[in-house]
Amino acid sequence: MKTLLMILFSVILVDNLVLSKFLGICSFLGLTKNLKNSMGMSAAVTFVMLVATAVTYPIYHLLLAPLNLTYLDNLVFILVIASTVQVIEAIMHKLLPALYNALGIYLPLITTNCAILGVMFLNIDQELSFVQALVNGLGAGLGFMLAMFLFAGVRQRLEDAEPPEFLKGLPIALISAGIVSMSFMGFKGLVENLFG
Amino acid sequence: MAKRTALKDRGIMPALVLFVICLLATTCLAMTYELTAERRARLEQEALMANKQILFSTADEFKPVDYQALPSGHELELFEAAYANGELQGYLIQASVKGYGKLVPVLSAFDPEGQLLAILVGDNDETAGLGKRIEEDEFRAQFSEQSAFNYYYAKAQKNANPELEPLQIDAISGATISSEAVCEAVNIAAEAFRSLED
Amino acid sequence: MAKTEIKKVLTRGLLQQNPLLALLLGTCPALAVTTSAVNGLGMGLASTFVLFSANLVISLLRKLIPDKVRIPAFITIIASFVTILKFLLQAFLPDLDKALGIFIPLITVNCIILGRAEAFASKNKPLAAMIDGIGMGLGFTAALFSIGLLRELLGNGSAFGYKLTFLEAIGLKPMTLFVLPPGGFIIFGILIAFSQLLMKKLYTDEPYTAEKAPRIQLDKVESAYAGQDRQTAERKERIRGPEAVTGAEGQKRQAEASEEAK
Repeated sequence: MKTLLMILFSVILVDNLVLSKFLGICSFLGLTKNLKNSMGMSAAVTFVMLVATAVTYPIYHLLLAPLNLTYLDNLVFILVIASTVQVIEAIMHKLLPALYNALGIYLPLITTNCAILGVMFLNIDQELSFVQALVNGLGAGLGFMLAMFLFAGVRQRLEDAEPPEFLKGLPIALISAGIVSMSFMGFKGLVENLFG
Repeated sequence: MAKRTALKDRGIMPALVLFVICLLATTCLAMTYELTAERRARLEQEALMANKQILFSTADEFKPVDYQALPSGHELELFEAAYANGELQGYLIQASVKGYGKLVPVLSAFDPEGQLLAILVGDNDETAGLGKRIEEDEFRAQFSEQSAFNYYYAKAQKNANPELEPLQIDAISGATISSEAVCEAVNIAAEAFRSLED
Repeated sequence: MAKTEIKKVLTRGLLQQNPLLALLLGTCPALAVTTSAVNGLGMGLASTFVLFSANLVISLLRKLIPDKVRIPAFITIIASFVTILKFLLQAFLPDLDKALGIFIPLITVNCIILGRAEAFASKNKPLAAMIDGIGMGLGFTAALFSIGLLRELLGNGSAFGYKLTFLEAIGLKPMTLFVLPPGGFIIFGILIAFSQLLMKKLYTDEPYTAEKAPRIQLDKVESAYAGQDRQTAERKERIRGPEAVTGAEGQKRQAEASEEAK
């Protein structure tokens, strides 16, 4: 249990996917102009992360590794993610049409979200067990959501600010993201001191 | 007049084409894997040899050592004896312990009398600027010229063996987990060394 | 392809349509691996290799790939080249492989490659696709190299691994922040600002900003962004009144208003 909590805290705060590991920046920069969209997207991403982990973990450990085919992991993972997104899209279209319409174009974009593929590889690299990998995936999605939420708030404030002309728009948004990232660095000792 | 759907887009053809592409891709990957396997393995060996030479600069030969399973159950990645001109220089033992990220491999060098000469920390995934500093000379120097009969720890003194002298290591501030991992790996290596003596 | 066409395709990837600075694609590796000039350069060249190869193969197969499965097919081809790249790096440049780590497999989901495959390679002849790959790749590499060099200079006081002691002499001590994540964001933002300034100066007749540059269309991404801007504008209008709507949306509305007044 303690390890699971450690993993959760690490991946949400200390090693936040977006602010520390730089995964998922495309959607981080592109979607955070609108809070609702970013929340919807991060919820979808979290869900895909969980499902993809649940599918890729057994495939890797029960199929690829024993057969010495680990070099196929890149290909297999991305195809699993792409199919998962397709399936989720189809299911949402039938069962949750309102949400499907709200998310609309962002759903197929989840496939190219490096956060998801990144988490798959992290699960393997860190040699986590199945449950640990699921928790890692869940935490990664939640951390992603947290980062998007904070940054969307920052960007909303930036709309009213008056930076110099050449910094308007993305540049000042990125510099602000840097400051948010700095604030997350303050969490660095947290896990060790809480659980160590 | 509607254009007839091309053959490739009809019925089962899309799935079939995709399957063929996947098959071709897998074949290419397998071929590249085989072609580069030899060279990659050689590079790994060279890197490992370079590390061994750092710890035993005069050695010209490294032979694996037979050892029994450790009482604690830990596994070793490497247990070799270093020789220079046929003379035993010491032992190299590598063990890995989970740090913050993945396993942290630590290569420990002992001389035949039981002195821990030095350690080397291998490829790891620890946090840059914090945990990664276990690779630096400053941290590793704390293990130099110590003993195989110490119990190394950073924060939690968990020694159960009365024959061992607990020795506290200054952990890297903010990276206790990484520091403890190195201590644990050295303890395992020391245990392996001691098992030789008996 | 005419000589001028080739030149145009090659150079547009450098500034106007720089994948990283203008189109904002491939930002993940841009921030993560640019802790040094060599890493930035290495990542850029690695991505260029995949972009070039994938563009070529996809263009060659463009008549054979069914429309329904084109995205999975593109992904398979791209993923394969990335894996091949990883083997080649492990075999010939192991230090670079270790430095770039997890971001090599992540080239697979680099939006630049999939975007170019979708927008260009699948619709053009192999030669054009190859040149486009090189152009975009070079622009990406140049941007990554710049970020890497800046971060290394400011954060480590070195360049290409060699410590520049004269920097300390003039009072510029290395600031570790710049090789850490926050520094990545900040340098990236500043570089975009300067590239926007540069584009404004060079292309005075068509002011370019990152938000106005033609976006690579991944299906309907473009309309998605436009929809988002409109939603934001409407929300602002509701809460704070029509004067609060500034920027591109504001100008659009003013244009619409003046049209109606006529």
